[in-house]
Amino acid sequence: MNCREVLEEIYLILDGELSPERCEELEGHLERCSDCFGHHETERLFKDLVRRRCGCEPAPPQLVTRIRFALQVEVSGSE
Amino acid sequence: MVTSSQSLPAPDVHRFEDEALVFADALYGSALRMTRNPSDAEDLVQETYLRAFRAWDRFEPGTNLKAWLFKIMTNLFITGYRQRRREPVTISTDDTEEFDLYHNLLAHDPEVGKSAESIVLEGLVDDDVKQALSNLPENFRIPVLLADVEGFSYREIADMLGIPIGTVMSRLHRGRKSLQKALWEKAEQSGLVGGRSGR
Repeated sequence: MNCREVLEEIYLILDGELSPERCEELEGHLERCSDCFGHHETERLFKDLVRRRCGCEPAPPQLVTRIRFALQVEVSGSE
Repeated sequence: MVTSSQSLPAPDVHRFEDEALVFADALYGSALRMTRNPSDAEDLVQETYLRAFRAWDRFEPGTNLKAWLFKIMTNLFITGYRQRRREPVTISTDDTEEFDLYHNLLAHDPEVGKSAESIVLEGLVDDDVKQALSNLPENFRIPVLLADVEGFSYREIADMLGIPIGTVMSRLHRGRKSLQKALWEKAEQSGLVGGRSGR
């Protein structure tokens, strides 16, 4: 396994798209190669950053009220 | 065929609300990144719930309800909302592919790859990241949003967008590179990286 192959599959590891066996093979390489390990860590931190910074936007309370109301209208309209 | 006024009994709507409304925050957050506008995002989420309720008898219990709702919302956005505005569909900069976040960070952040956080990345505020994601062209923004913020699999994203898995992967690759480059430029503008080596 060479570094190029590993780098191409880093996001497949992070996205959970690889078999456990393949993950284990790649992790073996990451333990031995500091450059690939650094790439993996950077991409892991970056993916985590995007999730944390963009993933916490609660719906305004009035939106849920509006949806409940619209659903009631839908139900009564179809009766 | 339906003759009785009991064809849509009230418990159905309550069960729908109990099961589906728990995803309102996730749907709204993604709708905001898709539409880039709170009022359009609210409309998109409300329309998603109405469509989902009308199709509720076609939802297979035991399958992923969040993915089903996201598929409805993504389709509504792609077919309806995006027609309202013109935006670029490709990433124009040629050097995006060459951008290497790790080697850029290494010069300013010697701990990257060793510690659990990155000084430079953590220096970016929420709005920087949200703005950079919102600025990506839609073809790249939606796959990145669905994979990195919502955690859907490639297969689920391919199904939601009606594109092959290989296309999902290439759009994710280019979208992430472009996002990293934009955030690096933001970090430079904010003085988190640049001429002065503060640390």
